[in-house]
Amino acid sequence: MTKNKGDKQTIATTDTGISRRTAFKTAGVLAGAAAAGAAGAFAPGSIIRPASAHQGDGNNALRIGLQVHRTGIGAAYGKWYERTTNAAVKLINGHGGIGGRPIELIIEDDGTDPKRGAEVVEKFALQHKVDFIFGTLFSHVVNGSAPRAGELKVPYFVVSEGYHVASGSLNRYTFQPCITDVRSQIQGISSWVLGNLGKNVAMIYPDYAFGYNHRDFFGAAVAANGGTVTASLAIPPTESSYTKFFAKIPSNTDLIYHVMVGPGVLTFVKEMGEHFGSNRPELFGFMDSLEAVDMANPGLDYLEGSHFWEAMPRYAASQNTIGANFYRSKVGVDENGASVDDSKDIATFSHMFGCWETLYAIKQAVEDSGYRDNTAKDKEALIETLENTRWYNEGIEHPQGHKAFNGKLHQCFGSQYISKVNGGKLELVHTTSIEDGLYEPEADYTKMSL
Amino acid sequence: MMFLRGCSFKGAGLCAALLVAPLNAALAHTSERAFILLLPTKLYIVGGALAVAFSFLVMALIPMASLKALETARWRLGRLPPWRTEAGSLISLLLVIALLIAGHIGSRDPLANPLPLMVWTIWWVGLSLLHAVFGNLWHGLNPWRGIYRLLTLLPGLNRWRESPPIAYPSWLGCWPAVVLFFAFAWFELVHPSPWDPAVLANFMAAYLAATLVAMLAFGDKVWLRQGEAFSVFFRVVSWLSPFEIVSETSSNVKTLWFRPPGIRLLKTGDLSISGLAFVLLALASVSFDGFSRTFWWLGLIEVNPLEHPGRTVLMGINSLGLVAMFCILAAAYYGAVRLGRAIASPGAESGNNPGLFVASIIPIAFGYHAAHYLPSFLVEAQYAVRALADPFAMGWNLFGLDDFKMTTSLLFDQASVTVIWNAQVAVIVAAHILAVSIAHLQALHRATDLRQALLVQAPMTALMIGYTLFGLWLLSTPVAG
Repeated sequence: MTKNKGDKQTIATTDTGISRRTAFKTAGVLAGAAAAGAAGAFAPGSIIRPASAHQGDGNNALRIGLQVHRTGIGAAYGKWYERTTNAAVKLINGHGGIGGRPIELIIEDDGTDPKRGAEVVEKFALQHKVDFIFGTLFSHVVNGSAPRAGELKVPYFVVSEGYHVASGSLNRYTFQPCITDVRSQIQGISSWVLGNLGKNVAMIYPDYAFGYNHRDFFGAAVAANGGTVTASLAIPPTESSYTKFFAKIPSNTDLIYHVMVGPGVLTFVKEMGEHFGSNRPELFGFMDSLEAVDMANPGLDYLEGSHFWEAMPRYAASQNTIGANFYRSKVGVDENGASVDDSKDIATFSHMFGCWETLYAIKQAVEDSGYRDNTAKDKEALIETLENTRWYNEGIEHPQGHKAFNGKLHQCFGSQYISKVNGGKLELVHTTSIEDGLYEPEADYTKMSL
Repeated sequence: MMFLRGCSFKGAGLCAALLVAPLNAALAHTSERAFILLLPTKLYIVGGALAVAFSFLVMALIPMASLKALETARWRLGRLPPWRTEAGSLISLLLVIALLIAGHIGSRDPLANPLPLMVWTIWWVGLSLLHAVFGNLWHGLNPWRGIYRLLTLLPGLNRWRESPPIAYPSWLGCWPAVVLFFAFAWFELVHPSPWDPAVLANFMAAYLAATLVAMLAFGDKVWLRQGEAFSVFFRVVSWLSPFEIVSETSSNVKTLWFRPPGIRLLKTGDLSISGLAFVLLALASVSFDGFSRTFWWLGLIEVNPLEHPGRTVLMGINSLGLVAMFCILAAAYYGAVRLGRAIASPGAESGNNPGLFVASIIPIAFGYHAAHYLPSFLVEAQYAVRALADPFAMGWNLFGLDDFKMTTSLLFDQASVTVIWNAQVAVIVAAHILAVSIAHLQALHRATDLRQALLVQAPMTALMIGYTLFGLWLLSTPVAG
């Protein structure tokens, strides 16, 4: 793998252990814990909570707001985002916090509702007076929330994989430092997919923006690699029967590229099996379709031998690194990607690492910029520090892999993983290089005023 | 298809969450749908409707003497020890106050704060189920009776118990309960953040205070009987219970009896128009909870279910939908009553008894309530236990639950989803069969002979068969939001 080292490579971790900078500052945590009040102050519309085992100190703590999809359509992701975040906060606080200050995590549910998202941002900034906000996932909620963060000048870290940040449509205060955007993901996997699975491609995608991203970005990659799109099938979001669409796929198709989402996914797979049987083209899908779904569920056996994109391999055997294994154990995920408490509760493994890594990116930025207080001056210094960051090393703090960070785009670029279903499990067959996913930047947030 | 509010964002939709979304405020009732879609749901739906239709025929064949015996059957279980309901009420009030404090100072996470879980899961779903089994627990557990008793011991207020300052107008009937229940349903189904601990605490505090004021103004008995929405709701649900407490007239002794489940519905007689409206509203609200999440409804209002825009922007249309659901149900019910009367007694006065079959609506409303909330209850109840162990986010571990392992995968696993789905179908079908049976008994009470009884209930039976189809479809169709 090639490393894109920039003019300032910040080394937060090594492959073998926790960073030198974060080493054992437990004295600070103990001091903070001793200073913690015994009872929360009660004030209208605000809370000041006492220290708990991992949530930090109400006095000198760094206050971080987790904007989480606890209810609404994003709730399955929200559950794991919250769990991953709590694991990271516990670990960071256990090793001295950030810049010697424990994290106080405040969780607010946005209902996967863009308008509530903006309200939550406002509540974090004005009532909870947080230093930073992070964790927003669904793109329409990011788009609804981030402008308010920009207006209130609160650093806002999204964990979305949307192209919204890199497109330049947001603001100077919004970053996506630890999860690759969908444009880069698609570009990253395209050359291997087209080179190994076939160049005559039928694309099946839901008929709205998410599907259009795949249609446009992968469609362009097909053309660039000398392939042909044999069919481009937009499935209405309310559709529940798919056989009629399979009938439109020409016989010369080598590969079906599918990105179906929603409650019809299992039916989609079942009907695909009924239509094509054993004589099917190659299949390539995005793990978004089956995130948090057990591959061993009956009906998914038709996917045996097919390929999937993963942002981070669900099965431990595919990424046997110290960082990935450490992360997996701390979050409480077993070797099959399920909760250690419930072997059928599958994690949203291709997304939730972003919460863990983003907290470490915040930690690094705070410590490198000398951020102390929730002031415009300190926040501006933090933003400029982030914009000068060029690289995050793979390791305990960034278990998904190395990441190049483009300060102008406020967006990171990391390796992607292509896995094959084998014996009902996903096995890694290819890791893309970071360069595979790089594209010509279309924005420069550093030109915006702070 | 055009989708009015489809956000034209770039980037991932990540809507696989719809496949698995476990919690949703009605938090968790969508996740199992991907697996349910793989089941032969059409067969279940048609089979369920046929079972209800068949029950109509069976009831018609049962001799009237046997039915009479069923109506009067009861078995004495024993005397109840004397107790004062005020004690339970005061404990309940203390719990409510603690929860309100938790709502403000506890975790902001609605699945870590005990208030929303205790209200929406344990109280609204769990306690309703207990009422159908054990009877009117709310009579002793409501948080007002005890404090009312204490307040009316104070000088100056003590006369209000016997002589409330404002006489409750008889024409009001249960209309205050109808209005308050509608407000509650709107808050649950339409408001953007009913699970937000602070928002919920504020709504709850306002309702608690307003109820206490109304009790002081109108008297506790009349307000809890006709004005307080949940006292009316739980009393209505308790009519399904096989347990009946009877006060012996000669003494203060109370006796507990066991009766055929649901038979107490016959005692309700003809509810007033406002009582009828309340029961129909209860059915309409829980039905709309399911209906408003269906792809069908979202398509109708031009919302992309895979990119659900959240509750805020749907407040207007969902408010209209809730009202429309009530109006459609009321019209269907009233039409069935009128039609039945017309074909059973052609040329006769249509009468003014639209509440004839309202007792039959109660099991249907409760059955859908139970089936609809069952999946979410199984998961959220576990969250509630965990939240109660540390209600104020102080790092407490009240129940020594360090090793408490939550099992949320019930809704992600085909085997467990199939079991839950079968339970839902059984509840819906059983509720409708009970409804048909109660309608038959009600009709027999009024009709001159069996033929007339069958004719008068025929349209209502058809409506119930239709509602069986509708209820099972609601539980099986794709949903979002």
